[in-house]
Amino acid sequence: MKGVDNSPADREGMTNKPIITCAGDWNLFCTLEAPLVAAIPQDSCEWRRSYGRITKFVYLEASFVKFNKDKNQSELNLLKRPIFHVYWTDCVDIEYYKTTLREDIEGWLKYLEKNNVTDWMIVLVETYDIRKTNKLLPRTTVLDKIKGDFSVKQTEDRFISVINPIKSEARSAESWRALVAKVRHFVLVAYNKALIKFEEHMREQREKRNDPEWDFCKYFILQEQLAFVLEMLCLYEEALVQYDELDALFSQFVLNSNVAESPKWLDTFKQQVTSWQAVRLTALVPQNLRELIIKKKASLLDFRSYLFQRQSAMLLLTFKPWEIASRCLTTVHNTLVELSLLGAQAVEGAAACWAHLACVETLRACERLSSTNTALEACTAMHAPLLHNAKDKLHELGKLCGLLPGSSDPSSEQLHLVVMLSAGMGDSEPNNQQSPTDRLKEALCSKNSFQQYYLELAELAMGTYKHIGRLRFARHIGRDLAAFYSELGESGKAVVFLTDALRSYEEQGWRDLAAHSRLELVAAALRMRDGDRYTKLSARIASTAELEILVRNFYFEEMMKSLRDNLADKKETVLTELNDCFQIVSATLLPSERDVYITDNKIQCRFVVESYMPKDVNCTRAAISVEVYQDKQTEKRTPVKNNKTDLSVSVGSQSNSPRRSTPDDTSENESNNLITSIRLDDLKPKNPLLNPMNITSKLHYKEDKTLQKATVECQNPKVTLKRSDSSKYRKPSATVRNNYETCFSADDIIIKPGLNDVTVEYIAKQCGKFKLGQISLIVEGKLEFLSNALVSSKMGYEVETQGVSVYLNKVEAKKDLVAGLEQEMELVVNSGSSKIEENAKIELRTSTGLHMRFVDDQSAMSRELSIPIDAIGPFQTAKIQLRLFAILQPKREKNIEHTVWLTCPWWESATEVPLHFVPPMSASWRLLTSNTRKLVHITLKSTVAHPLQFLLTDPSLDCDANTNVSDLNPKNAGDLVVASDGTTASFMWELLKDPLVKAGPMKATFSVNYRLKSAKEETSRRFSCPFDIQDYTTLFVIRTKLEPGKGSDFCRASQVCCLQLNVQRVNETEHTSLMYEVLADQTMWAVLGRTAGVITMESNSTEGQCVSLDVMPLGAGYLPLPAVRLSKYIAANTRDPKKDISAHPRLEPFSPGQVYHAGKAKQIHVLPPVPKEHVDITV
Amino acid sequence: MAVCVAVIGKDNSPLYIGGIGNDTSTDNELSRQWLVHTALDALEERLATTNSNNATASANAARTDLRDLYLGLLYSTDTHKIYGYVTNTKIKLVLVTSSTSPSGSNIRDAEVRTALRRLHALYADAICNPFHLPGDQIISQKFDRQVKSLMVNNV
Repeated sequence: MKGVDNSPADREGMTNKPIITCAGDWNLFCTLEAPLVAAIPQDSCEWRRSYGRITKFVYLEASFVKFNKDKNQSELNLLKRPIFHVYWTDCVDIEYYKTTLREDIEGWLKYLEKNNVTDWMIVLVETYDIRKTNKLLPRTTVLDKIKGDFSVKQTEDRFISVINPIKSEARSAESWRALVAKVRHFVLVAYNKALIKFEEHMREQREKRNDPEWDFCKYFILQEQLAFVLEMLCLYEEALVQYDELDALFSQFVLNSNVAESPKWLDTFKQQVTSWQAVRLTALVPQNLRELIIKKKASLLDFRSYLFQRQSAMLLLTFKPWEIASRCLTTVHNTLVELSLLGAQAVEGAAACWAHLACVETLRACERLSSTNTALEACTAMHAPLLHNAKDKLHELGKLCGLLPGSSDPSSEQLHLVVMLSAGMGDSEPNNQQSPTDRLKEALCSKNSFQQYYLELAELAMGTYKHIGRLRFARHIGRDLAAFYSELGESGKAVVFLTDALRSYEEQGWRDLAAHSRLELVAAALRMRDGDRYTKLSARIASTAELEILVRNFYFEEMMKSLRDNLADKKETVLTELNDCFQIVSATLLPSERDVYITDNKIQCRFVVESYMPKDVNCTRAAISVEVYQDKQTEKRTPVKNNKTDLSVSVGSQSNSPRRSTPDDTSENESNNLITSIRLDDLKPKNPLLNPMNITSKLHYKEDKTLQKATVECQNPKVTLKRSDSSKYRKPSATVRNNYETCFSADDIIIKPGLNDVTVEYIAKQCGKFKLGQISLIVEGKLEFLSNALVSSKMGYEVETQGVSVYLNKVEAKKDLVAGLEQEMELVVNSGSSKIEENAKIELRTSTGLHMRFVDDQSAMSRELSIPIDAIGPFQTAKIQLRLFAILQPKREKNIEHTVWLTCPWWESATEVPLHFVPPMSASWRLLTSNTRKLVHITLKSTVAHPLQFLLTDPSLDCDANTNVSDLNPKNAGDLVVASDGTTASFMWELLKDPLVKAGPMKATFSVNYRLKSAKEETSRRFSCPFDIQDYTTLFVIRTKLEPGKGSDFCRASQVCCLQLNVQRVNETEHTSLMYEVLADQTMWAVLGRTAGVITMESNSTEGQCVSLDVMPLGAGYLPLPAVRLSKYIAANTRDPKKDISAHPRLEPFSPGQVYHAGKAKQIHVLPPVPKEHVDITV
Repeated sequence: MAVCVAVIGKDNSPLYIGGIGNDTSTDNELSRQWLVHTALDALEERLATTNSNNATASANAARTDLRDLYLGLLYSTDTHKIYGYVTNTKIKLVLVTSSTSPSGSNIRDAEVRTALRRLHALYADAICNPFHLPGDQIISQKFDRQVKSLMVNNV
């Protein structure tokens, strides 16, 4: 405690070794010292400690000194005090022992006992004597004697004999090893005791720390001894703990001094700081600083340096360089705070110098040490903040010394400061390497070297930050660099850093920071005389809500000024992002008056824009570009030709040519709807947190049905907890100006702060589908704001050219067109969206049999008509009345199809209009026969659907020349009427045939004049209908007669009657072989026997053939006679098989008129059968 | 004394930044924002290492749940100390103390931890507002008042 021995051993710091005194035979010991010193550290020894501290294996070293009674050491000086005492002797002679040695030992032990030393050992060195080996050992050796004299139970093992290794190495090994082990063991035991005692003392001292007399420096040196001992025992962690405790104690004092009264000793550290040497991070003890502490002359910086160096030394010894690095910053920060708290005087910048050097030295030490990869990795993470701090401190120094770029040359005070600072840093290290101190001194010398060093540090710090992934720190340094470069006049470089920083702030929503970065950028732009950028940034800043309104107004004016001054003579506008200053809130396409947008008409779009500008701005032009909408599916679809329009309603064709190929509307709407109105908020993805959570409460029961727990469970946690996409909704940025050749636009709008309605309009020239593209707002004619907000939306419209449409319509749509009558139709021409020029003509051409004319024109009808159309404006209609007449063909057709071809000047090809006519009436005829007379009955009925009445006059039936007809129609009955309500007209003629002429097929034509009853029209037209009559001549007449059975006068039911059948030929015929069949109704007649038979008619005989058949009526009453069918019987052709295919006979029917059945309608009265019994009774 | 408190969302955008203290040229609202912003780096680093540590000791998976939300001192500057805290929903709470002020320099870790826990509770209360959309900035005046008083009184 008296001070420091300036022995060379102390200078080295690490050479504190346990001191062991040697008493007795010093000369003997001297021969053994060297091997002993060498042997002790060779192996570790287990150190058992009291108070349950962990046992450790430690390596010991030892230094031996001669025992000196006079040199009394306080037991509180751990370092200088001998820890262990050994008595050496090689006495073998018991007599000598008894006389001399015993006394000596006794004195030694007494002395030790007096000093409370219990750590001692007596070593008897024996010389191995070969001659003695075989003899019996002496009964008592000197050692036994010594033991006997001095030993008590606890100290028995402190007496050791050892064979002198110098004299016989081979034999001594075992005993020697035992000796060394004993020495180690006892030294540790001694230390344990000593440390316990010391710690107790130390604690006592520490408890006194609030005494006014207590001195931290003293205590520091005291506790440091413990650290030294622990270090000596290679317990570096524990040594570090001692230093950390001291550190904490000191810090606490300083902090408390701020709030409470500061102790006197603290004044030491308030003294002026005169030295700010760099810390030297080696394992050595910086004795000069330690001395200062002991002498109480250490300044705060000195003390902190010392402490940090010692802490680092411990960390270096445990190979934890990263720990040093991490502690360095804390130390530096704490020290600076302490400096200010204590108010220690120092040259301005001294602290910065010290902090800078500490950081850089730490870096250097780390680099030196971190040889392995893992250590390097761990260090690098710590390097960046160190570099950062070193850079900051350098900047601070540069500012103080006037070395920053942009500042004027250093003043004399500043130069003086540089000298002062350099002096305080002390001399450089003796070795040749450039130390951080040298580097700092050099940097402070000139602006250039300062700049170089600063940039080097900054770039390195930034790079390291980037390497370890601390991008925000890197950008922060980037901003510092930007400021530095700006001062240097290299604004270009500054802009790079600032833009990078700005982007990241924007991305993460740090608006204040972004706004501040923009202010820096705008300053850079001003320096660079970048008018475009300056204007844009000014606009953006003016619209930044985070900034003060004064700032915003200032930059608003700057923007206007810049627009006037810098950009006035530019041809092109300056493009910028619209969303910076404005926000499109919504957009709506206003619906047109007609449902669709028509070419050459105005389309309006209204959008709501929110302005963030602080004042009104004059928007010289607002526009929305228009893009052709790419319909992705049109390629795939096949156009459907839909020319066939519903003829019942309108005849004609829809006409606009561009639409003709487009697919029908419904499918279009499904696939790609263009929306006409949008709110931009709708485009943002919905916040998943707004979705309702499906939460249910549940009760859980135990097995015994008691309630176990009640829970609230979320059924869809995955939906709710789903990670939202890390890519946020980002505003689409418009950097490229779209094509504004076709665009919605409006000029000279004042946009006020807040919401504005802007209506832009556009006259559609082309038809097709279009979508809205980019929005552009040009402010003051030069600054153009662009936004692609609408581009991604499918907002658009479809323009149609409603071309000219021409329809050929019936005047009365519900009535059918009737052939054979003049029908009124109209040609409707709709001009659509275009005009119809003067002198336009539509050529009409009809199919054969259809004629037409204008209504008011009495000229003859023709098949071709040229219709002049008056000039009409858009969306007007011209109607031309026409009359059409379809010639009635003498055919019996139900429908009459015609076609009209329209040839219009505005279409390339003629349009086909199919027309469908119905005949006014239809005729049907029947041939009636009465024996050989033939009558033709003709019925006329109307086939028209709508009510119509025809008056019929002059019916006639014209036949071939051979046949005459006799008109049986009443002559004075007036006009017959045929109407579509079902009224029919009948006519009858008798065919008067010349019997001499062989009857062939006959052609007859019925014709009648008709006219509409309702119309006053007097011209009646003729309706005619041809028909052919074949085989109408009566060949055979069948007569049937029923006669009662024999013996009865009446026909009675259930009595057999006789059916007489007479077939008579009335005309010539080749068919002689006939078959008759009685077709009796089986409910009335029962034919007995054969019902059919073949009869042969004589070709020249007119006599009838008679057949009688037995039939029985089944019921009473007037029964119709059984019908008889006569057929041609063609016998089987057996003779000539070639002539006829069939070998069997076959029947062929006659035509209806060829057989006349005279008894067809005859009835016979059949009486009921005779009730015999009843008769018997009555008769 | 805490000079600044920040609530930062999952996506690292600030939800709330409240600061007290006199604005000087070197110590003002903006400078504190820089501190908070850069603290995110340290905070994320801390989270990453916590996670990876947990991953390596995956046998003890339960530890993840028990992880302390308080992250301790994130970093310090000459004048400020920045502490971090992260909620289970990855909302980051950052507290800045001034080491130059007498009360700020003497602050204990436990005090900061308590203050951040209280802040967490305040935050939880604030976002319980059914009209607050998680992820939006916190504009509640009550929250602001409570946080300000927390800064003055507790730390």
